[in-house]
Amino acid sequence: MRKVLALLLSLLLLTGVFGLATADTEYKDIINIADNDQGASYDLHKDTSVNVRNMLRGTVFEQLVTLKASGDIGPELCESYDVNDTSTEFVFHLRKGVKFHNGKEMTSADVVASLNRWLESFSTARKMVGDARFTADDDYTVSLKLENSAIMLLDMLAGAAQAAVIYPSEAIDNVNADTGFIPTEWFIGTGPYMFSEWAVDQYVQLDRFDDYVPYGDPEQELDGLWGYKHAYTKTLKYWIVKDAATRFNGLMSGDYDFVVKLTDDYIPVLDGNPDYNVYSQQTGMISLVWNKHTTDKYLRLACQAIADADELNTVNYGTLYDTDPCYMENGQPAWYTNAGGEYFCQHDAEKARELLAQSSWEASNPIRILVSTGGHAEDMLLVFGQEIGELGLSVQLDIVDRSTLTEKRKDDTLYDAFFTTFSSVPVPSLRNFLDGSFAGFSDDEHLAELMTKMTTAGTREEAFAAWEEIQAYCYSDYQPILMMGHFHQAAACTAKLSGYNVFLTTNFWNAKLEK
Amino acid sequence: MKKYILKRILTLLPTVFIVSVVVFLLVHLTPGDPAAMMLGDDATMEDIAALHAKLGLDDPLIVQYIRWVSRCLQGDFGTSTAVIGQKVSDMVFSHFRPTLCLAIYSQLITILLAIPTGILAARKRGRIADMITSVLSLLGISLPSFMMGLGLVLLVAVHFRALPAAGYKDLFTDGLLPFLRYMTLPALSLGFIHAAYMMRMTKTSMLEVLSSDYIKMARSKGVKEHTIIGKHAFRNAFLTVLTVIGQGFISALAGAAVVEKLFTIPGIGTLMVDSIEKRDYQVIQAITLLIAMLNVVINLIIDLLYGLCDPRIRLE
Repeated sequence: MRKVLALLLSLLLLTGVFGLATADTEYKDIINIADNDQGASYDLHKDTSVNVRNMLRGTVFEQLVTLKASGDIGPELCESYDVNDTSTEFVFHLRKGVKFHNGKEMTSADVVASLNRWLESFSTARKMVGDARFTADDDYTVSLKLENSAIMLLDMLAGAAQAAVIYPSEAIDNVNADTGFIPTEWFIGTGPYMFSEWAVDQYVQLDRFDDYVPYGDPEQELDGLWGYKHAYTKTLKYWIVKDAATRFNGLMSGDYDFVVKLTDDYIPVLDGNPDYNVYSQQTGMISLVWNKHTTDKYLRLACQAIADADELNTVNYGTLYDTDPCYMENGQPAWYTNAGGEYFCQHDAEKARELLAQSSWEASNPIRILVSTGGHAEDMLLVFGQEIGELGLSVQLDIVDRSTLTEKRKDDTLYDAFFTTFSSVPVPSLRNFLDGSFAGFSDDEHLAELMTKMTTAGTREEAFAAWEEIQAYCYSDYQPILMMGHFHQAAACTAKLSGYNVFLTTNFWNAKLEK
Repeated sequence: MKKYILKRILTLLPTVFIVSVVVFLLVHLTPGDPAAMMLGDDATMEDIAALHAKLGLDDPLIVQYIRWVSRCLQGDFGTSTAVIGQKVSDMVFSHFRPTLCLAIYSQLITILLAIPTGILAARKRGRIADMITSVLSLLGISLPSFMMGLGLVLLVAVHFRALPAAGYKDLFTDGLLPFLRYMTLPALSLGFIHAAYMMRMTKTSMLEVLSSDYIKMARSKGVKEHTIIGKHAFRNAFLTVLTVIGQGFISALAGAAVVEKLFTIPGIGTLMVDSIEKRDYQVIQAITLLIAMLNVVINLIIDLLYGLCDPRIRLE
């Protein structure tokens, strides 16, 4: 009996040992990520490209505050912050002992130099604060005192496209005088990864910063962009792979572990395959921006009334879209609203005819639409042409490259509308199609009044109420854009990759790749 | 000979001048703004206008042209606006190396594939070997390089996982084996198309030579077939093949953009396409000048090689 028990015990122990051995998974030192483009500079104060921001914000560079999943603001490089009741005084208490990648400790001098440069580089933020600038109260306290309320300033510090990241003050001193950009050798931040190498047109390599000082609870998962960053993997290598087919083939051949911007054609191939994970998230708006100088509101309202969002989007995005009326993304609960949504792409010919009858637009004149090459936007607009054909209207497409479109859309005589997508913004005031100085020229007095009401509101609730009013007014009356929905960006990775965080983009701070 | 070479090199000057004016005007008169590309999609018009002025793009065209030419004459080709802070000369040089290596490798594949099969097709005219090579050459001419590349990637990289699907390793810094691992598929994609054309030219040229009287005379004298082909026929047919090699090399240098993009090789073609998309004026101008000069130089080398291959040709 003893022998049998001993044998059983031994077997049990052996099972335990093997069990432990299988649980003790080994991980790779490098994650190969296929990105679809490179930045012009990787200077986040200046470059607003999505790729640049997605790669570096929170990874190499950090901000005073950052976004939580709920849309709330969380302190990142500060321990806490105080804002007075009228949102005119902001005080940030910095974390002590935070190190830059060059070993220097971050102090208020670095924060002041960085944020004042950010204000100089970002006209929207500059307009919000007027002549006020950040000042250092002591080595670890920074403040900003304004004349007018700036309820959205914290959101912009946390999530603007021109990210308010903190560089060492020496980086600001070494800005290239000819271009105004920070040179590559000064891409020094406080994040868990260092900017190690940029082989132009090949890759960007980020290596773990061993002296990184994390914040938050190591046991908790990340909350949006906020929380404890473990940096398990030694190296993140972002390959610049512009061709979608090459990215997909690279994933299948094992050259890449994660690929961005997977097109709809490849999703069915990966769906259901246990070796890969595929996911998508809403990342921006699809719209036709009207030129308000050449079109009247009844034409614009008629087009929104006749449009069929599913019919339009399927042509261009396949399944990667939502017919969601909000001008903000569904992942931004603080600003998400359906106000005016009843007017979104109604596919109602009768109503559209009634509206068009009030328009001064000559039906014999085609609607001149600027659209850039790449993707299937022109096919989408041909479908739109067929839809408005029911009203006796027609479209004339001017298909150009992106750079030409950016130039042509400044001239209000060259087009009646242009097709574009808008990436996520942290606050509605950054939706540039609501601004009279942006192409399309939304120079409407009532809209401007509502925008001022929102940006100078005393509380968040008042600001949100004003935002709902703005969206309802745009849908029911002014129609600055023909809103078509939201696009998704799909990404895929090997099933061996875990721990990545998906919020606004995919963040690899806590990602691990099984061997 | 020296006089001839000097004369040909001097023809570079007007060529470069005309190319510089045409390219400068084309690039600057095309709509598009480097400042907008530098700042990204979400930049405000005010910020773009400020950067535009800072870059000197508000100045009259003639002022910008003179400024560019005078800097070029001092060896300064300016800085890129698509990769901010990078010197154009550094960018062009670093991107030219992968393209040059790819062009040489693909030309080697082309020559090794095309010349033996072209000779074989000429010798076995109308027979099965000729038919197979004709079908292959037709396939090569009809098949676009990206299709060929995608097919190779699917088979070799994705199915067999034998070679990488994309990427680049440098011959000099990473070594020969990694270079061959990464560049074989792109070189095959590019080389197969050129090989098809060269194979047809070799065959046509060989057929013409093989039907000439001196070959018939050699055969009637009992000269061995491999001596007739190798020593007498191919040497005479080689002039046509040499022209095709030169043309193929130029097109591999200047026209590999599609293959480079497909295999993510940071070559001159990729750089040119990106620079056009991002309106990187300085880089576009520098690459165009480089390609124009390469055309002249490679054609000069081919002309000189004519003289070496056929002593009857005298260059004056």
